[in-house]
Amino acid sequence: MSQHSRTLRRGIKPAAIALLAASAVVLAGCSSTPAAAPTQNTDTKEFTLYAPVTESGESPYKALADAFMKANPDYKVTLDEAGGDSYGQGLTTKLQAGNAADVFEVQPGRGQLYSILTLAEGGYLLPLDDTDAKTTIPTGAEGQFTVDDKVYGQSLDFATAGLVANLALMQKDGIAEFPTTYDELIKDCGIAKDKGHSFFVIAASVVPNAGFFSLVFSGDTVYGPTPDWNEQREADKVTFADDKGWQEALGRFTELQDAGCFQESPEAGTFDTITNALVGETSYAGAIPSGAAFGLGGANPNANFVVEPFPAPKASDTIISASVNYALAINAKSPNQVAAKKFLEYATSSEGATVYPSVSGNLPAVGADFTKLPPQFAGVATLLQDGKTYPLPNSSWDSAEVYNALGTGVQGLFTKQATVKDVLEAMDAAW
Amino acid sequence: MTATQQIPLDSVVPERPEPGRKSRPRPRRALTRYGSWWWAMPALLAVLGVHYVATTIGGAYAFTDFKGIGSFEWIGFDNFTRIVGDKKVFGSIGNTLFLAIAFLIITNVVGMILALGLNRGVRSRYILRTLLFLPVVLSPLAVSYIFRFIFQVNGPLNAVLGGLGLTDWQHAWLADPTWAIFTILAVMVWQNIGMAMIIYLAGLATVPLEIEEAAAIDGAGPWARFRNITLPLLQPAVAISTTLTLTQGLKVFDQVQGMTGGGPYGATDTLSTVIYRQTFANGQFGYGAALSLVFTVIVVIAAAAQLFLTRDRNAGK
Repeated sequence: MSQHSRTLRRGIKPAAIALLAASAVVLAGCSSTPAAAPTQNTDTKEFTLYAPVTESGESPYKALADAFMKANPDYKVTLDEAGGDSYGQGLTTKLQAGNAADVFEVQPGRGQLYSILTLAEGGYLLPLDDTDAKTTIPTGAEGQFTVDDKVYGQSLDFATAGLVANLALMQKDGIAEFPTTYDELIKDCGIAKDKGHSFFVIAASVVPNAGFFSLVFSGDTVYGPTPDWNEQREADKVTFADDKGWQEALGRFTELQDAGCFQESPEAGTFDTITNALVGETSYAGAIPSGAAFGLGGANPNANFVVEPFPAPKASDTIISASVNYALAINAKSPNQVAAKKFLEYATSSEGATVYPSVSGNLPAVGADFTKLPPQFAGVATLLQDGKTYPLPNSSWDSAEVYNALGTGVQGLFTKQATVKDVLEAMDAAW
Repeated sequence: MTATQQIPLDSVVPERPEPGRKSRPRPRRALTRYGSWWWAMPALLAVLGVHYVATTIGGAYAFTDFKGIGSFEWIGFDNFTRIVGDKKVFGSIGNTLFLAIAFLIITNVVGMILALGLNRGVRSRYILRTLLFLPVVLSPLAVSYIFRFIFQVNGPLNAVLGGLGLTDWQHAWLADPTWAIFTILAVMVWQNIGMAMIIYLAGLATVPLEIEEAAAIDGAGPWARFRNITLPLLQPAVAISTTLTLTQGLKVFDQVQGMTGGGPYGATDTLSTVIYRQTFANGQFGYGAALSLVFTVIVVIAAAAQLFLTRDRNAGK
């Protein structure tokens, strides 16, 4: 053996030990909680805002930032946008690395990677008790914004999660009104099919839309009869697989498919399929965020897109999901918290509170007058006035994996690879 | 192999001074030798830091319940126990192996046929080589999105089939549990066949024309010349190409993620897409790291087996 080799060999063992030691030290560092509050730049009038990019149309975050800078000319907001698919991962990575933006979008509850409760419990969010954030939280949703009696998020808008339907196309096909019962819906599916259309368009190959449809179906079968179903699931008093309501909700995919309610090959549907079918007038309705009713209307002036609830078997059981979709939070490590709080204060002011919802197409977070809604919301106005609503269910679910199991499972229902029982058991396993 | 001369190490390593003797300045060559080790230190440290330390840390997460943010607990082998009980993981391993082996065989066989065809003789061979190699330089993700459009239910492929009256052949290609994985395989082969062809063309350039001509004069037919002369001389090219395509096939991610996302209902999931989904969509970093370790072991075993099978059996004789 050469001396050179011996020299190298002698070095390998200590190097390996040093490598492991270094890894352990770095890993131990990773496991620590965030550092103490940083020194504040009270004079700084610049801060960064991180939000998902808007796929079509104007960004409500840009509109809000521009309005804030117009009202406060000495302030500068730098908007950093990320693709919708990577936004959550990008935010958590930046927070973990300590270089996240000063203000960013979060989701209420715990169901996503960037949900308020998850981030607040990790110590990444600044408590907002000394701001007006608390006043933006709808009654009953406090638990999705609060940890240890401290508020960590400020609502941006109030959205309904139901169906967006082209009423003009339905009327052209001879359907005067949106169906009010499940049986009427099945009947109208037949009319649509005869006219060469489909009642529903679904992007079953895309988890968010397949999952969203399921949540809409679950209103009258699960969350109407049992509003605290999620709490019961958390306490292990119920399971998805054994719940009749969930079985009925997912069973509707097969029933509606058999009745010809969906477009051809729904299992292959993508977001493009939805846009093309609704704007191109080959389908009546889709389960998409209510704000889309405004955007789609702009793309086809002949259409009349309105927000409608999914009809229950008994009209009196019909219910619609209505809750805060998005919120703003401040980075606990931000050195510009003073400026960031001023931005949040502007977003709750009489001038600023309408900026975001006017662009997103949803309702203001607080103070929306349900008796004076835009015409697109006429179909759900009575439900909102009567309080026949339920929060978007997955925001209280244990993890994002449960929703992913639901979304992928729906595609399996269409391709006959899975049964309702399989999908619900997968959701229980993911919980 | 006789061109380089082995220099006895003792001739360049300085003798250790005897006790009591005044040490002399070290010979310049020895200093250079020691120096050469240290000169490599920046690069070695960079490789250690960027590659090995990062990989070791990533591997260590496999024994935690890390969610991608916040603190975590050490949970021993729980993630590996979960893998053993996860049917979808085993399904994805099956898909990974199917894609890797089918991709390896088809790409190399067709790549070699193209290389043989375009090696000599054909006047337009340079243009054809360029055209066949072009897909290799494209982004796999961009190609996947283009093919996703082509394979859509209302896409160009079904339109052409319909136009030809072949309506029975129309499918929801990417959402059909039977066809989806073959669709992905077709795109993988289409994009990478040019790489295999180029490797075999380089190998064929080293096959002496005289030997083939001599064999032909002796009465050997095309198949006999290929079997007994060309293929043995192409052995190094075969080893390189199959190694590259095997590892590429095992690691396939872009085409699956871009075209089906692993669907329908996991029918095209590979280990890479499961790792991605568990880690980044579900926030299960610990579980994702454990899957990555399992994946690494599979790749190492497959690559070692492949290298063993395609080794040059005459080497050293």
